[in-house]
Amino acid sequence: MALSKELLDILACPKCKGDIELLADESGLVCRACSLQYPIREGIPVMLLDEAEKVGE
Amino acid sequence: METMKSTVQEQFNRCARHYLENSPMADRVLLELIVRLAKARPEDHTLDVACGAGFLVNEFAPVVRTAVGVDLSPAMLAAARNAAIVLGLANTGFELADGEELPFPDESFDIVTCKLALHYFPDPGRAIGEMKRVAKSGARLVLIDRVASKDGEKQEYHNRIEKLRTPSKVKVYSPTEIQALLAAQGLPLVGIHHYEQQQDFEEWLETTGAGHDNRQHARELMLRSLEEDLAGLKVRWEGGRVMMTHSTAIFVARK
Repeated sequence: MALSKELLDILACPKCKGDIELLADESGLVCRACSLQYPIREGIPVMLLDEAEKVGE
Repeated sequence: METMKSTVQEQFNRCARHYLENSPMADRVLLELIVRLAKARPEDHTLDVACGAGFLVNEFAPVVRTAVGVDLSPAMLAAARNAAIVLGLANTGFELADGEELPFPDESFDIVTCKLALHYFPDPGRAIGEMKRVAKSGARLVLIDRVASKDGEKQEYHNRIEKLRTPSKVKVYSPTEIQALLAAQGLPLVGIHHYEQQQDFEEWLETTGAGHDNRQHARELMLRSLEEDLAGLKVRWEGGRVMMTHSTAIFVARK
């Protein structure tokens, strides 16, 4: 089951509560404002700061 | 992550299978009652905080626009997602997230629920504050939790047994304490509904995977309360089994 657009639209960065973007390969979600990437594991977005990776500005 | 939350995560990952098969979480009558009390409408977006294996999310999904669940246990979320796929519920979403730090913008949901989980939050006030934040103005917040006796001594005795069975449980609150938590967040209460579940004590003891010593200690405390209901759990013998009554309260508040 792919992540639906409507459900993704509701999701936000747990840190700044701002918008996040789905990566083209659907492997993660990126918050540009915080430069953080949240992984998606087996179809489940992992929205924890502890699990997020810092990404390039 | 804080130790308490890691403990909760580990415990639920370990127990996911047993929990799925035996849990009173799957009680259909209670699930239907919650959906009815939440006054779910076809246009509603719903969120269930600490959704476990997704029973409530999957109950809401057929009657609302979207139904989202968050939890800290990957095993529980995988079970929830699999169940939604089997049931063909494409309007569900499951995310690994902390109830005290929800990954949603303000004013996102029409219904926010939290079922049998408030007693796990290290800071329940903060969790309720987060539920309020992501709820739209006029949204219904529905808190469902096991409640302890108003009698302080019985509540303490009850909590000693709960802690032995589930060390990660912070506290089972009395209805008055939960009302106070809601009031502290400025959430007016619309109604309280009570629901009782009869439970076989030994089966209940098994479901969290507590160690032998803890189970034995909990059993002793339970048997001691047979004569004068020390825990407020109406413990009694029935057909050679020790039975107890769980009181669940459903608090409906409006933002």
